[in-house]
Amino acid sequence: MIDGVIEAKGLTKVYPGAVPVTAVVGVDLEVERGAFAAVIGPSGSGKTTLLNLLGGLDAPTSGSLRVDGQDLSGLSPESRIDFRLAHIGFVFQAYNLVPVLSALENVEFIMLLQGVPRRRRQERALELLEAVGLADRRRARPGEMSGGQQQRVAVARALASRPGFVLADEPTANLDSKSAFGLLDVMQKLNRDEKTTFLFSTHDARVMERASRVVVLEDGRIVSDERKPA
Amino acid sequence: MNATMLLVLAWRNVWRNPLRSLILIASVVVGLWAGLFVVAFYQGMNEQRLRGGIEEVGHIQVHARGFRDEPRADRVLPGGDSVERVVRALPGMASTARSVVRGMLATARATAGVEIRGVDPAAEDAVSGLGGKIREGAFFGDGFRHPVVVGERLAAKRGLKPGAKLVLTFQDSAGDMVSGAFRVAGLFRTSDARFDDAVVYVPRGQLDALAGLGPSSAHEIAVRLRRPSDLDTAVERLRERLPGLEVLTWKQVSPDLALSESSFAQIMLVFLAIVMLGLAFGIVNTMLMAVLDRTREIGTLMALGLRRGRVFQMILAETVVLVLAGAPLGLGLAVLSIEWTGRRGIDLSRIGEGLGQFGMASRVFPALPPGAIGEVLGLVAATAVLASLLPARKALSLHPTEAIRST
Amino acid sequence: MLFLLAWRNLWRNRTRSLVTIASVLFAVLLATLMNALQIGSYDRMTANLAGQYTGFVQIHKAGYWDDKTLENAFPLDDSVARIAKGVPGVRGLVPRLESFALASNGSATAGCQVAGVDPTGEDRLTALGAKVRAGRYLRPGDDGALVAEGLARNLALGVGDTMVLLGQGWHGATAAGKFPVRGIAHFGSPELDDHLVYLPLAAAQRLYAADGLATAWVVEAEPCADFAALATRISRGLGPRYEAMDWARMLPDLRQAIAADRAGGLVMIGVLYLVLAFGIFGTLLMMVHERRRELGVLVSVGMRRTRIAALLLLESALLSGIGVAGGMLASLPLVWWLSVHPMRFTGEAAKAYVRLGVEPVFPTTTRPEVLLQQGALVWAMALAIALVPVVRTLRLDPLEATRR
Repeated sequence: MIDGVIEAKGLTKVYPGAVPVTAVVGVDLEVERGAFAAVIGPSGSGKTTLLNLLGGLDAPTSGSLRVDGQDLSGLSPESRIDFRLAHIGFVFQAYNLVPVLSALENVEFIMLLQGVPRRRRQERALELLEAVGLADRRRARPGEMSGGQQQRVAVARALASRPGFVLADEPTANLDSKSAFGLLDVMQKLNRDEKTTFLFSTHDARVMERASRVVVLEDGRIVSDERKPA
Repeated sequence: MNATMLLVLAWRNVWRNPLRSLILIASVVVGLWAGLFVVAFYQGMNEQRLRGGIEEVGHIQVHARGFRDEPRADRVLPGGDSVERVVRALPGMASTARSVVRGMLATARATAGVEIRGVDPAAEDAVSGLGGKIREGAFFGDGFRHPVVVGERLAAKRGLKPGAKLVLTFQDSAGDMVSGAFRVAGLFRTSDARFDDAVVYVPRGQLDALAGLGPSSAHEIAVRLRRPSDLDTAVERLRERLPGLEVLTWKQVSPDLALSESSFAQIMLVFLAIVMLGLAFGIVNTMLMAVLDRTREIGTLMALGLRRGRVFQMILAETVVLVLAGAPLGLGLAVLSIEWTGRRGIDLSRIGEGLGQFGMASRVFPALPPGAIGEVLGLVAATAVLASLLPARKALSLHPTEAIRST
Repeated sequence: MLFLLAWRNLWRNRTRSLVTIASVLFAVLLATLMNALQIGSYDRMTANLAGQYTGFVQIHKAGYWDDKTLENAFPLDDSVARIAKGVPGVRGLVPRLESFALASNGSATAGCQVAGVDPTGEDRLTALGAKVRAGRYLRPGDDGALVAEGLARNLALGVGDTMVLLGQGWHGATAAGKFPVRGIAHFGSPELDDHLVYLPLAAAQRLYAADGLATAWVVEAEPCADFAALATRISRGLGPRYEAMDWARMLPDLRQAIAADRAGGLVMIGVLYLVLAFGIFGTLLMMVHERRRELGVLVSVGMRRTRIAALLLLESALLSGIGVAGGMLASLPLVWWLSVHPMRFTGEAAKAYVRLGVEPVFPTTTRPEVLLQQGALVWAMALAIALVPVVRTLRLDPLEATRR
């Protein structure tokens, strides 16, 4: 089925301007299927830029990127959007969900965009909400949920289209310990059960602890790439 | 994503900020209501002015060819009263035969130019309603042997009261100047002040005699249609039966009457367009702020996989929902208020005596011109769509990378 | 200090401020547009009716206008002219002797209005020379007449034909005379086209046995907004035997028509203002509402609510002030463009206008007062609207505001 692999070679991103800013330089990164990996680094390290590149949200100045076997560099911005819809799931630090939709509708949303028929949509959404333990809050709106609950719904949504990997950008940053642990538990469970790849960007020690691979970024370059024994 | 989801999203997003949305909806309601009411008001005034004007002119006028170019007394309609009889034979119209000459009205103090109309009171009344417009005295009556009826304004200017004597002088059918002494039998007031200044009525038989014309002679036949919409067919029929004579509609006889009718529609369009523009800016404003509030959210949606076309549709749907939410209420209020005032009329004499004095009827009956509602709805819809363009552009300019904001 | 704070606050959230400024700017633009169109049409009505014949101000013997007979004529001497020309706003005076007569071509007659004029002066006043369609314009020593188109047609008179004029002269003398038709003029309005006959003043005086007399001095006035005031000024200098009247008094029908139109115009612009008010209201209300938390913090920290209200009011005043200034500036090219390339009527209306000798366009005025007036009104309206959210701030509860 899906290979779940990210293959980045020589990724470089330079922001043009009066003083050009080099955010990421010559990054080589291979992420295999089923990984639970974290990218860490101080602010200004290029973490955000790298994630934008890996997630197909931005195009590199030079270098190549293959996700799920597909070369992203040839794609137009509109095609990249379609690609993301089918192959990449996102969990952001905050403001993940559409405030006017219920939890169930939020999870359904991705599938709606893909044109999945109603019945299958609702079944899968319910299934995912159960997996993150929030089936009973399916009719609640984001405003009525705690931060941790919102993030869990975001995870459910990220998995809705069975993506190659889930990109999580500081998902625990706004959460208290209990919620953070709860969220990580859910993510790890899904990682084990569905073999979904998770790629984190994080400061959070709690996340780093659980990651099976930690990539350190400094000044736009990878300075260390450690795999932890399983 | 199908249309239902779009509308659901749009509807819910509209109510995220109820206060802001309500203000905008209120402006749509007020704009529609006030705008339509003003249009109907003016239409009512216009219709009235038109009706009044047409009463004096008649829907159709018949003359001998060349009479209007050179109104000589000998240019009567041919065949005595045969033309009159032809017109009378046709259904759906009331007609009056008039002898018309231009001459002078002389009082002890001064002279003035007037149009002298020789008429039969009953027939004249049936066409122009002059009987009902007599304010003092009578429409000829039995009091004087040679009665004349003049306009109130003319009488006031010349110091004439019922019973006063005046002399009418004009050129007869032979080309000689003739005069006749008449006594003021009554004063009339129509809705056209200029008309009141310039026209006097005497019995047709007497005018014909003075002018040296045969009995039952007439220069002009004015027709009033029972159904004004029959104008074109009636004119055709008359032209068929009266070849060689000039048959004209009121628009041709009185071009400035026709003017107010057609220019009015365009003036109203400009007015409504400007009001819609005002509305549009309110909409653009509100939607722009709504988009600015949601930059993160829109960025997230784009990151997730919402294509640009869909983002545009979302904003468009929201704008349309917002505007249409107010449309039914605004339209409903407008129609109701116009119906209500249309039946009872609005009394203007209280608001401004100037208006009442100036030939304008003192009661106005607002009425929506045909097609006005459709036109306005079209304008509103167009406004909504156009107004959504700027906020949509703003939304599209956002980048999915807005979603990832690591602190 | 408050001012500085207000100013800085404006630019903290550039987009928000720009949106607010834009809404006020467009309000001013639209209001100015509508008003310019309205006043343009009143001005045109006046210019057409008054300017074509009556003139904007006339001087006659007291009581003449109500009793327009030759008995109320006055001697043409310097006394009146000297005084009138001394009044500021008066460029010159043009004499007229007007009366009624019957015109005839030998077989047909028609009533007409005879105007004995000074050809040069009259041309300056009403551009009479430009209206000549056949033949030529009158010359000062002339013995012929300039006949209006409609009248000429009614009497089948062409250039070179002889026209007979019959009427009542001064002190009841019979007025009769023959005049060759020197030219035919087109006026556009049937009132004028069907009745006017111009004669050189001397010829008219001879006709009516009114040597040395005139019935009116028509004032050549500087363009001004208030002719009534000018007329009053002139009257004052002339004493009780003479009076000066402005067009509004001479043509009460026109005045009332314009008044009626004006009233309607007020209603229309009122509707526009109503709609604009909602737009501005929404913007200002939201602006303040969104800053509740920040304002709550300020109150907690110790800033008095009246101070905060003053600050917000100042900000609103600044924002709307900038919007108004921008709107007025933006109106300039728009109004100028419209006066040079006005919107045109189409179809039936256009044809009808042309027949009446009026250009089938929506006229626009370029008078600066329109800009300033509308700008001031919108600013006042914006400030009044701003009071609503500002007053609500006076009752701001800091704890509630800083909560979620």
